[in-house]
Amino acid sequence: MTSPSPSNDRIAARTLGVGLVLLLASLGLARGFIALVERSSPPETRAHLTEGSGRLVDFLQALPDIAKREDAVLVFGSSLIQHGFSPLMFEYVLGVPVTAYNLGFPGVDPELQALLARRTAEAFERQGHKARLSFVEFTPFQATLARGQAPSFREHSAVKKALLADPRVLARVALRSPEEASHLGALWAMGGTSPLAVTSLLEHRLFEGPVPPWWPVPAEPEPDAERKAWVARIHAGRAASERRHVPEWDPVHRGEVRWLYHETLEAYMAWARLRSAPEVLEAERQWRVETSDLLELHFDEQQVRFFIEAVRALASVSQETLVVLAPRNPAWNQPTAEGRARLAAVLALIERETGAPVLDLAESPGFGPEDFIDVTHLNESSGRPKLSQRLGDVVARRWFRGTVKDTAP
Amino acid sequence: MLFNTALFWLFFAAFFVAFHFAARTRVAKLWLVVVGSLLFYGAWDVRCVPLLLGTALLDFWIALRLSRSQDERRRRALLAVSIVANLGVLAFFKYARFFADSAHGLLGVLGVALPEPTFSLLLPAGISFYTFQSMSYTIDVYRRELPARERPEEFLAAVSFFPHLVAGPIIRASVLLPQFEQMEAPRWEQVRRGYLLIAVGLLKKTVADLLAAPSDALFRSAGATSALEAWTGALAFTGQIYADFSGYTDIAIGVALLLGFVLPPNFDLPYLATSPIDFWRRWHLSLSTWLRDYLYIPLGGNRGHRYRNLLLTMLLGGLWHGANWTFVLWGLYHGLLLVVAHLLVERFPVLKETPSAAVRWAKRLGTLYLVVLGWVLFRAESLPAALRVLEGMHVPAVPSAFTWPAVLTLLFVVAGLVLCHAASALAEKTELRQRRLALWPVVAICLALAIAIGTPGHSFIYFQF
Repeated sequence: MTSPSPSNDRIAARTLGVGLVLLLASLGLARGFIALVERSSPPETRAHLTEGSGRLVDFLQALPDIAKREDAVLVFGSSLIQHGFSPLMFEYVLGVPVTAYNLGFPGVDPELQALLARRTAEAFERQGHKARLSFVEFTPFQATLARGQAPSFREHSAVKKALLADPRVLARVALRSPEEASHLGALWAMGGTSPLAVTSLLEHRLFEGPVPPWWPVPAEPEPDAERKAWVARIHAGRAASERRHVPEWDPVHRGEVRWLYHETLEAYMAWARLRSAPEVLEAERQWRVETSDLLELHFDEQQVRFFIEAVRALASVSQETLVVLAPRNPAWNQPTAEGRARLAAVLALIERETGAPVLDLAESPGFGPEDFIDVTHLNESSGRPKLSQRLGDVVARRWFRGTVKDTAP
Repeated sequence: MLFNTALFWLFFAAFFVAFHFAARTRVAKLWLVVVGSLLFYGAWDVRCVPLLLGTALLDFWIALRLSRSQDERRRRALLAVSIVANLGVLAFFKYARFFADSAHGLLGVLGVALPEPTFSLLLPAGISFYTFQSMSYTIDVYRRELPARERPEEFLAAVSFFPHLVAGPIIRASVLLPQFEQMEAPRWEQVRRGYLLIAVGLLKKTVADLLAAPSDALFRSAGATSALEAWTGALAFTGQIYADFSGYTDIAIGVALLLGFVLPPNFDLPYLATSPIDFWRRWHLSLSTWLRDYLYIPLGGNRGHRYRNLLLTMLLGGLWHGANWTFVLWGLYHGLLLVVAHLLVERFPVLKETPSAAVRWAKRLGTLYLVVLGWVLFRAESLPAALRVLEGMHVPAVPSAFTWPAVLTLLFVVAGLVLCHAASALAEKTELRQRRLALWPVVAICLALAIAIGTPGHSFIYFQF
């Protein structure tokens, strides 16, 4: 046996040092490569394939300014809020000077909502005042056991968690799952970009790009070609209308994602017709059932706890807090009796634990299938104005005992 | 705790520091290896740790008794206990359901209606690897080729040594025990090779995960396929399984080298083999040599019934991979290839010669074709599924659409295959690791690609075996 000697220790120390340098060098190279791939991808593709992590980054940059406002109305939630809420419409209906924000983010499970809520609460605490009102939207299918098991959802969620987590959160996650905590740490070191997003971007560029003119075989007709063409026209119209770089979380529209402008009306309506065709929705519903347990709604208790945490965090920095259940597509999203019972029990628990009243718009008669762009999301043309108006009405009733405007701007 | 996760590297960094700087004696290092390895193994499922410890301690005790006994009958009985215990554990956890399902099917054919088996058992990770490793120790001690160890920590460390515990290489006790006795510190050349292998292994794993998509697309679909789709998918799996398994092995060898231990190679550019015989001298060497030494030779080897022994060895080698008839067929297929290859070489000795590069490449392509057919059997969920793919490759019912994305996919698959072999050749067949200025940038680029486009936590194929 060779006993430990100074030279052995030196080799071990050198091995460790080289390993550290290699790690830093490869991380730097990887981040450079990722930046190159991202910069050379269209913003819409990037936003789609990264499932809203760019929106989160843009929001975090805007958060300190939002927290300065004492008249802030924060409308928190998932993509249901992102696509279903217009701050301007809400303010108009309410009729008193408040500044509303669309804080809906795609693919946020309740754990992520809790992190986001805590980060927001900390920003308000630093300013020493409270927001005027907070709505916290509960997305039932984001809190199911099935949703937590789908690898792609988990990865998208992990990227956003990595962007929001601090050492305290990482330590808490590490107690539950060291593997998840180390993965979050790695994603953080990568600047919040998942390798999944990078490979998706590369695949998109390589396989969905134009066919070289010299290739003899014509491309097969793409089933999605017409829809994509309308989307391209919407983006072009939007760019022509905005005449500026529109960040994913846009401070000008206070987080509202707008696709509907005078210039894009025709394209938007055509796209919406294709998007909400029955055969498309049937496939989407099936996918939602498989990946998110849309109809049976077997909830993950831990996720429900996280949602309660999120509500409590926001309630601590809001003068008023309401939990919202967004409208459900009556034609395509009808949970089973057992699913409804489970949802009712969870809502009761949330109300009991947080003290925040639940505004259940799930079965609201004002919303029909024509207000939805797909199985779960409201469309911009009728659904979004209706929900924004409805929330404005509710607040107006609470604040002014029935004084409600009833006209669109 | 997979090699392609941040958690493993955090664990390894902590282990490395403790191993080199905290554990100052050989015994302390041995116990550290045991504890660290059990921690590593327990991260999968802590319930599996007692099984690993139990079989290893039983073999340790049996080897001690073997070394102290001169009574041949008693020695044979002790060896039988070891073999029955190891194979029994393997049969119970890995094959019980398979045997029950097969018996149920057979009885059904014979008209005996029994309720369908519904039980399911936990399959401990790496059980096929560590039972073979542990068993080889008692066999070597029985054969008086290896002295039994008096203290358990050396043997436990050798069996549970975490780099090779879960997916090999299958390291015989006779390879690791002398190194644990010596416990030499790594030399700087070993460190350089270790880092290069880790980087190449992670890059290969990245390529394997990218190749998984076209492979899965073929093997998960149920309908008829075109020749282009079938060949793309089959070649993708051919690349995937090599990149995945050899990538794991490279990382295992690299990690062991950083700790000062040398594990034998498991692959030698297998898809450059010029015959099926040559292929098995290049693919999963630790398994093929294990089967040769502990099964083929005891069955009689080349003396009498040579081809029967070969077929039986390959058939059991196929079954070792998994509890499915497709693995048995894969083993049988390779056994038949070997028999035919040996017969041809005996009849036409000229076949051994490779007069020109063109003939050599023709032999390589021919061998690769046969190997790809074998991988279809290996990957398919069932025999009808394998036949569907083989039909698509040779007599497709659907015409191929040579669209740009389809051809591009095939080109990427071929490029992946070539890249993995080139990376292996670069790491093991060139002087790269001697050239400091070239080595570190290559290592950093491989690691950067693995970090940027790898799929962290994507499991290794051989973990299921």
